[in-house]
Amino acid sequence: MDLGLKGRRAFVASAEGDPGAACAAALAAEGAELLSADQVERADVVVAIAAPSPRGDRDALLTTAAMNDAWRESVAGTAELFQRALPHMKAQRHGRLIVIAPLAAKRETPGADMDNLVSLGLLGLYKTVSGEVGPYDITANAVLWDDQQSDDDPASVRESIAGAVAYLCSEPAAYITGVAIAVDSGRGPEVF
Amino acid sequence: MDLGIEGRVALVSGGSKGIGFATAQRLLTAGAKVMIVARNAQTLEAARGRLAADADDRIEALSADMTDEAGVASAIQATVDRFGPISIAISNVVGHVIDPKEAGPHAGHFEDVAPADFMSEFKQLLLSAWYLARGVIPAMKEQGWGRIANVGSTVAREPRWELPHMLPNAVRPAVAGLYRGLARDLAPFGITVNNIMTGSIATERNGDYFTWLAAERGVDRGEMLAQMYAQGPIRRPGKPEEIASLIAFLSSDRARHVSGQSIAVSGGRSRHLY
Repeated sequence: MDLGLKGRRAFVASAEGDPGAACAAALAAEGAELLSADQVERADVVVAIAAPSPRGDRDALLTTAAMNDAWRESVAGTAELFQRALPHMKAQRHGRLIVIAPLAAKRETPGADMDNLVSLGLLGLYKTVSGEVGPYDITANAVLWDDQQSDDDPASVRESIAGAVAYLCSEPAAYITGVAIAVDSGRGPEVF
Repeated sequence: MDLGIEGRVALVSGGSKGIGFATAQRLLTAGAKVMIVARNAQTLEAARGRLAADADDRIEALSADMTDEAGVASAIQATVDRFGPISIAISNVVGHVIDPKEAGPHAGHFEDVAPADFMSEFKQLLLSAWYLARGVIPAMKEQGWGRIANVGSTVAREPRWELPHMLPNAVRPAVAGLYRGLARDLAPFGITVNNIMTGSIATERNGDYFTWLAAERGVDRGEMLAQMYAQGPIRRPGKPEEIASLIAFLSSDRARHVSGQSIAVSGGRSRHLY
């Protein structure tokens, strides 16, 4: 399927990391040109990645300082990337914004107390952005995953995540915005 | 993107027009063998002819009623006989009829619809999806690979009470629940099950519906639509191809971990966070 990404300029945050590397590879395979961090202002596609927070004892993890740091890195960091890219996207009336977030955003994950609260902020962010930028034919979507889900082959899961990201960034996905797709092999309990 | 489904056998219901037709086209382009099923034999044959232009012998068509258990069974059997075991099954059945003069459950608000209408809508939308899934699952389990998707509606999550949608408002959520449960049960077998929540898609049927609705309300059709699309983030109706491309992605080999999802293709009109 031709995703129409040939020649599009894409910035993938943490493109060396996980699952950024898989996403960058998938976009490059579709002919997208990968940008470096100082070129976000030219991006047609931005993939922000909220790194999963450490897990463990709630009282030890949820300090004020740690909460501020987590919020700054994931929510404020994603907001900043989107803001840097939007003027260009609005001017050309085309753009794709993606945030890859912990699945804790929609399903409480035991032990992941920081993600259980911070990730929901990411959902409020991408969803509001999707409503605001839609009239410019810019879409904003989320892909959710649990980095410690161990029932599936990790490489295989990365391939599905990257596939979902590439598809959501495609031309044919122009009418899909404000959706969060969980890549968890359908294991969760919730209907939506 | 290489979908990795070359040679796979797909069954697409409602395949003669609109979303079903566009889906068949996408899957054929990816190298799948496709059986399209619809009730109207004449429209179906025309669709088969158009699809065959690029697909040679990888396309077949069968007239059957996919809301009927025997109809679904006959469609599955015909597909297996023609192409072999089914790997991809797309449930795409419409619900209530638009024109009140036609037989079947009608568009209406709560007090307009009879109990029999609720039963008919349930048969058309939920039982049809259930028959299809139940019919294809055994062979998918044997293959250790399968893709099942339902073409549903955003009212599965957000009912629309400003429109006469009582029937789908009640039945679409049930289909989402059904497919969600199947997804969890089938994860160990390499089978994914997803539900697509379509918004307003520019199909012939939707066009007829808006013509009827504008007349019903005594308003100008063009103005009514302009007002409607001015409200959403993406200010236009969706295209059948935009649903078809999502179905193609979900049917791909690499989408193997995307399951149990109800995905809105509505130009962002739904307000839920996830």
